Amino acid sequence: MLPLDGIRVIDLSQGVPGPFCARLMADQGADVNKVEAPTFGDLSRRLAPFPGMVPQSESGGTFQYVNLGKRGMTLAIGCEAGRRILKELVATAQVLVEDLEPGVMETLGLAFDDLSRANPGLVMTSVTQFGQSGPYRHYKAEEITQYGMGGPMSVTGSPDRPPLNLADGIVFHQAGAAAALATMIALFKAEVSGVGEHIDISIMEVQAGNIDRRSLTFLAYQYTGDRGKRQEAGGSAVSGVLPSRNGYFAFDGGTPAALEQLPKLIDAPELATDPRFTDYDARHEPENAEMLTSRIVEWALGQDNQTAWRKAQEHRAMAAPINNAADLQTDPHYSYRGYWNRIEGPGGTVKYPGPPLIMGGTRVSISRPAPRLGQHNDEIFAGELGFSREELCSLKQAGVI
Amino acid sequence: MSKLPLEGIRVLDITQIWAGPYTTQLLADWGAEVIRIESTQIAPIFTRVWSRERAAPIPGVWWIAYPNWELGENRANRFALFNVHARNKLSGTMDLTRPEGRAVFDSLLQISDVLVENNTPTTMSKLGIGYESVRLQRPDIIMVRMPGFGLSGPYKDYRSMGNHGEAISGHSWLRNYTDTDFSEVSTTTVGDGVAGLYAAFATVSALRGRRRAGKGCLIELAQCESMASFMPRQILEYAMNRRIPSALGNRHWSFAPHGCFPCKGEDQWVTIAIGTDNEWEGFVEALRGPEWAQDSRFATVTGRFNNQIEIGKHITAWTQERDAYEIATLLQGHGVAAGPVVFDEDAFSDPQYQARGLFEPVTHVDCGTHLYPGIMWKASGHPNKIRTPPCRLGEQNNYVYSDLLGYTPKECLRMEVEGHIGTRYAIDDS
Repeated sequence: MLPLDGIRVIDLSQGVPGPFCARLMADQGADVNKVEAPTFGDLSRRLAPFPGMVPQSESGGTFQYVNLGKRGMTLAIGCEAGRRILKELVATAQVLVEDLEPGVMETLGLAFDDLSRANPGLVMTSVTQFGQSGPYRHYKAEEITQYGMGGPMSVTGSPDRPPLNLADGIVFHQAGAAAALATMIALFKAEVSGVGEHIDISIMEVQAGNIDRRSLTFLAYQYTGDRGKRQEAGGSAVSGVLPSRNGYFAFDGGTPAALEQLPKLIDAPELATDPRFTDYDARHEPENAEMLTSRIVEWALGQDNQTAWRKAQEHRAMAAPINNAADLQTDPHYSYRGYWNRIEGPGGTVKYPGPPLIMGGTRVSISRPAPRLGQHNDEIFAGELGFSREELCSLKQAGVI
Repeated sequence: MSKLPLEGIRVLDITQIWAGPYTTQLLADWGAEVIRIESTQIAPIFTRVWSRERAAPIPGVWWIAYPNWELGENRANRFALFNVHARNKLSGTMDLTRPEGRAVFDSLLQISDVLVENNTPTTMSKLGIGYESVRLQRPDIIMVRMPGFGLSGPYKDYRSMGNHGEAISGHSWLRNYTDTDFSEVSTTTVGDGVAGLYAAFATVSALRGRRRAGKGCLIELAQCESMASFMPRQILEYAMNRRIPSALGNRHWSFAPHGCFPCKGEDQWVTIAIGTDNEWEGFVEALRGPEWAQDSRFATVTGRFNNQIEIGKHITAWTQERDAYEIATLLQGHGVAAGPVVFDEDAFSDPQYQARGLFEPVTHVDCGTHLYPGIMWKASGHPNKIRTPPCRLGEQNNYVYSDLLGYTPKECLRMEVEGHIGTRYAIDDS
C-alpha cells in the first residue's frame, strides 16, 4: 500500500510548478486527474525535448516528466457547463492544484470558499509567481526573474561579472516540491479535522525562504550590516573546481581529516612536515596558498577524472565529478541504485530521471506515462461521475470536453 | 487559531550543516516538535561553528557571519548559518558516543515519531545508529536518512556537501557563464534546499501512510539524485536525442532576450525575459519605440534568438542609465517579465516582501533582535509565524531530561558532570 492510496488530486495547472506538485503526489500513490483545456491542452506539451527532435504534443519530455502517472481529461472551465462538471469532480477529491493568475478562480466562481462549501475537507493549493496578495501579484516571471528577486542570484557567479542564473528547471521544480510539501501537510491535518484550507504558494517566497544561501545572506546582513557578495571561485587554497586530464571535479580538502591526508593524496609527502602547509596561519599566507593550489592543480592535471575524484574521496576529501548529461547516464551510482525510470510512452521507451526517494526499501517509482490529451475522459466522466453516452456526446459537441 | 498541522509529531534531529536541518525546519515551522540532539563534546563545523578552534570570524565573509562579526559570550548560539534554520526547534545535549548518552537517545526514540539524519553512513555505523537499531526502540518510527550519495552503491561512504551533489548530478556543468571553464565559478548550495524539500515531503507522506497502515519506514534520499530530478529537460535531451546541453549563462534555451543587465549604481542588475511577440511589443513600447528596436530581424522569436547578442547590447545601453526597480516596474506595466536582482539591503524594504510579511522580528538572547526570513507559504486555516527563536545549545535540556524522561535533579547533575548536559562546547571552556 502506498502512502497516498485513496487520495484523489485534481490538477488544473500547467507548465512545470503546479504539475510537478501533483506529480509528486502521484509518486506517493494518489490518483491524480489532470484537467486540460480541450484541443490545446497544457502549454508544456509544446516544449522540448522531443524524441528525434520532432515536436509532437504527446511525447515532449518536459510535459511527460511532470505528468507521469496521472490520468487525463479535458474540460473547458471557461463555460458554465465545464465549471459545473469541475465542481462535481472536485467534490470527489481531497486536493485541488491550480496555477491561474490570482483572482481568476474567483471570477470563475471557483474560489476556495465556493469549492469548500461542497467539500469542506478540500485542500486547494494555488501555485503562482508572487502569491495571491501583494503589489506584484499580477507580475510576470520566468525562472531568472524569480532567482533574481527571491533567490540568491545576487551572490551567484563571479564578483566581476553579472549575477548568474541556475540551470533552467531548478526554480520551477523547487516551487513544485514546496507546493507538494505544503499540500501534504495540509492534507495530513484535514483528513483528521475534516477541515481543509487554501495553500498560497509564491514562487518568489519559495526562493527567498530557501536554505540555498538566500535566507543566510538575509540573516548575515541583519547580523552584520554587510551584504552578501559574489565570491571568487575556490574559496581557499584547498578547495575549488579542479581540472584533470579529461574533465573537472569539485574538490574540498579543508577538513582536518582531509588536510592530514592531502600530502599523500597529491604525491607530495614532504608537505606533511612543511610549516607553510601544516600551520593554519601560514597556509593562508597568499604566497603559500598559491604554492599549495598549484601543487594540487599540478597533481589533478595528471589524473584521469574518475580516478582523481574517487582517490580524493578515499583520502577523506570531499569531491565529485562535474558530470554532464551523458556522464550521468554512465555514472555507476545512478545505474547501481536503479535511479533511471524506463517508461514506455508515446515517444518509445525513455529513461527518465527517477524520483530520488527510496521508502521502505523500495525505490519510489511510476510506470505509467503522462496521459494523452483527454485519454481518460470516458473512464472518469462516464465510469466515475456517471454521465450517460448522450450527455458526453453533447458535451463533446459543445466543446466542453 | 487552530493547532498547527504537525502538532503532536515529535522529531529527533541529528542533522548537520544544511540539507538535514532544512528538512527539520520545514517540519518545525508547521508544528512538529523538533528536538535537536547535540553534543557539547565536539563543536560541529559548519553546523554551529565555523572553526573548531574558536578562530575569529572574518568580517565580510558572509557565510560565516556572527552578530557584529564577534563570536560573543557563547559562539554556539551566534552562528548565522545555524540560526537561520533553527527557529521553532529545541536543543537537548547528550554524547551519543558513550552509553549513558546513548541511553538518553534511546529513551527519546521510544516517545518520538521521526528521526532525521544526514551524516555519512560511516559516521552512523560508528555510532551504531541505523534503522534496525532505532526500530528496536520504536517499531513504527519513520527514519529519514539523507547522505550525499545514499546508503548503497559505489560511493556510499563518500563525503559531500551541497556543491558536490550539484557537481555529480550535472548541475555545475550547466550553471556557468558561456565563456569560462568550470574552475572559475564559485559554488552554490542549491542541492541542500532541494534535498530538504524532498525529505520533508516524504516524511509527511510516510506519516500519513503510518496513520493508515500502522507501520513506519526508512526513507532514504541521496542528495545527488534529488538534484538530478530537477533537471529533466537537460537529462532527457540526452536520453532522447544524445545531445549534451551546455551551460547557458543567463540565456534561455529557446527564446531571447533573456538575461541579467547592469543598472545605475554599483553592482545593480535587472533581469529581463521576453518570449512572445506580444511581450516584445510591450517592451518596445515601454522604451518608447527606439529606432534600433524597429529592426525587422527582431520581429520574430527566431530572429530575436539569433540576434540576441546585438539586442543585449542595446538593452544594456538602456538599462545602465536607470534604476533596477524602476526598470522592473516600467516593464511589468507593459507585460514583460522583469525584476531587480534583489540585494540584501533592498530586500527588507521590497514592497512584495513587506505586503506579505516575509520577514519577522525575532529576539534571541545571545544575538539581539533582528529580522529573520519567516514562513515559506501561507495556509488559510493556519496563519503562521515564527514561534520561538533559534534554539541555543542545550537550551531545552531541562525539558528533555526532566519533563520528557523523568530524570531526577540528582541524575541531571550527574549527566552534567559527565559532560552530557551542557550549554557550551567543552573546547570553549578548556
